[in-house]
Amino acid sequence: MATCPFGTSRSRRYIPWLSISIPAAGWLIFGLYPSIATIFYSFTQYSGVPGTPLNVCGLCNYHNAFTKLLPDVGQSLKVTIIYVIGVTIGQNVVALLLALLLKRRGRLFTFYRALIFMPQIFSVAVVGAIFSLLLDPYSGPIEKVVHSVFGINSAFLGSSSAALPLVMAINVWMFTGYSMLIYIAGLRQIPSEVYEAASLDGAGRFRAFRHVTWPLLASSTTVNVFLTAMGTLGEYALILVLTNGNFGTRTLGMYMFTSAFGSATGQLGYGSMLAVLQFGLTLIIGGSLLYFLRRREVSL
Amino acid sequence: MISALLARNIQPRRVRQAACAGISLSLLIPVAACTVGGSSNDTGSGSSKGTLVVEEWTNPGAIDATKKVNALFEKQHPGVKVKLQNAPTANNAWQTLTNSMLAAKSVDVLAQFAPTQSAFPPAYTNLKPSGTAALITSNQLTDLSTQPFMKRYDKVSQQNAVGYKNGIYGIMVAQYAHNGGLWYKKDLLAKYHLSVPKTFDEFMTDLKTLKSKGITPIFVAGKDNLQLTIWDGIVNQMLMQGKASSQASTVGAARQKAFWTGTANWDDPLYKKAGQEYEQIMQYIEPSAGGVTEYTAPGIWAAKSDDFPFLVDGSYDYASISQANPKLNVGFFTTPGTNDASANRVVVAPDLTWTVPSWAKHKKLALEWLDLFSQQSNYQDWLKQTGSLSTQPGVTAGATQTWTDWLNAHMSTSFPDLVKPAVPTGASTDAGNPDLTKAKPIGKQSMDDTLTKSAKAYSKSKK
Repeated sequence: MATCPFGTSRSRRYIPWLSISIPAAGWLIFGLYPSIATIFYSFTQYSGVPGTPLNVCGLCNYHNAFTKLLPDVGQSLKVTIIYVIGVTIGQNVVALLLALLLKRRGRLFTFYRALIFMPQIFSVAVVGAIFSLLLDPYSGPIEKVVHSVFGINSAFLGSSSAALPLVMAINVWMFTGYSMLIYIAGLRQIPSEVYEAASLDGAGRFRAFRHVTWPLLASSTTVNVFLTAMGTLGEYALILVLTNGNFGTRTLGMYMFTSAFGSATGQLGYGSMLAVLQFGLTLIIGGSLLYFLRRREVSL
Repeated sequence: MISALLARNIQPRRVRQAACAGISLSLLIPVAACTVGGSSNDTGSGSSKGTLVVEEWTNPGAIDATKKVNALFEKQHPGVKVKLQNAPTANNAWQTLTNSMLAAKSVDVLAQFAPTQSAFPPAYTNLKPSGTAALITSNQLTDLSTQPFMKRYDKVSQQNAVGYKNGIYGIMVAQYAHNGGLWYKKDLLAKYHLSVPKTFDEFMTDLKTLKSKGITPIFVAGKDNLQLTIWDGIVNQMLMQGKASSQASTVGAARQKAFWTGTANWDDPLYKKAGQEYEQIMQYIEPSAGGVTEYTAPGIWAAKSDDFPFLVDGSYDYASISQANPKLNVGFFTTPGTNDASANRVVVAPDLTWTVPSWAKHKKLALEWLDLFSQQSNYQDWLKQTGSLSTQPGVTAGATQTWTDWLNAHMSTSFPDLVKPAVPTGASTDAGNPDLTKAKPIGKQSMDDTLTKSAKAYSKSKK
């Protein structure tokens, strides 16, 4: 007979319900309600300014996005996909390399791991300020190096060819520590006996990585790839502080932000429509990633 | 409390009741607090007591001036407190604060950027207004046109800045000579025997001379696209050539309609000519402009007294320049965009505008506050603190502002920034203006290509 872990008295049966009611209320108010409201606003020409009319217009925003504004939506989509692929691959490669280097126990390793994880806890405003100062062409330390070595200036965040890769690199720098910790947890799960057996079979370091480490890290890879891709799909805050979406860095998230809030002609209705499109994109990419990564785990 | 009840072995039912009462009470307290917070000071729009809430964005000079007015207002109105709310404009912080205060209806005097007539799309566009214009068209702001203190301000400027139909929905108390505005180092120009140029050719001669002396003539925050103000200044002057300042609204509206109906576009000869001039000027900017932000530009520029004679304006306060280098002798003039000196007029951009929500809890106090703010001595103090140009005819910041000498001599012929072509929300940057971050020397495109792309983007965006 199933029993309530909190006891059988009537009063105690309420405890689990009471416990989940508070987070559930939080989710309903701050998660579900805004999501439904966003879908509703996507059918309006609402300015977003409280007290102003909603101007319900049906599919007008969707129609505009797929007709006259298609080049703009398409360009943002292209930038988003480049951004997601670049950051997901870059972050996972760097994180895995760092995990392999720093998986051992010891105070020094712990210190380095903490150091690499640290950017994760910085706010994007702080990261934006740090890199703006580092890259400042008049007072930044990077200017002196690149000027003396390559004879160029450090205005990379104001360059259409360098801004996007640089923002992606900063994103990787900021969140690599998190992925590294997941990989380290995965590496520590691999029994040492497997490596001993591989060694007896004559496997060197590279072959051991290819045939032992990599397959047995499949679940960590799934988690890391999925979380990185989902996190970067909606990225706008870092881009906002680094380039304000200029110089070819306008992702769908940034386009949504500027359309909804960022300019004198901002319309929450149009921005909400972009958010719904982004949600659709997240579903497609997230679903596909989970499907293929899970299949990969099984096959390995 | 519950544990205390249990310790006294009270019946479980009573415990539940007490727990429920406790939880209910704890949930109700914040709700009640919200209500009390809103109503404790709610003494009605006709009351002369309570807490008047003023909100504006963080600008050190403006905040200091506002605090002075607040202190004076509290002194003149015993029992009244003035609460000043502010947040920086960076990263949308101020807009977020404004929206939350509008949603809670908890503000009485609200600063807004003057919407100007550009923010009210003509009916033929079927576009909906945003921001302040949306507040005005939905009757959220009070029409101040009949208020006695409005007589102190220039009616035409106010109508252009915050007018809609027959009403004026705020007081524009700050304006800047923005588009085409250039700060300059007086001593550096004097060293090379140069004066403030009156025509485009004179300006080019000055730039060439300075470059030949090993000087980098122009400093600009290219990362934030402030070079756009040079372009806008030239275009404004060309479009207004031979026209009276009072015709600015007509000229702007005609351009807007011409763009919308397809009889004008960014690749027209006038814009190509403006593009050629812009290209020529931009040859003289500092090579790292793409990495300079608008926040650091005034400080870097001011600190370097022996280089960069010109700084492209970004609505900078004189205070931010003098803080970086108090000894710097600076002036301000507008880029001459034509070879007709009389056409190279100052283009003014309206800025901070005080508004009163139509539902303000202390509307009477809010109007009295605006009246006090508008009084000559207080307004003069505001001008001194903010470095903005006066919107009250006959009132200036006084003789202490040496950097405004050129402006003082040329303000009488100034005209307001022309209405921009209407573009739908979501249209690319290219549609509303040529995207100068892509044009040389910041980007790689020629100005001709940039204008052609803008023209295509504009045509596409309004189909």
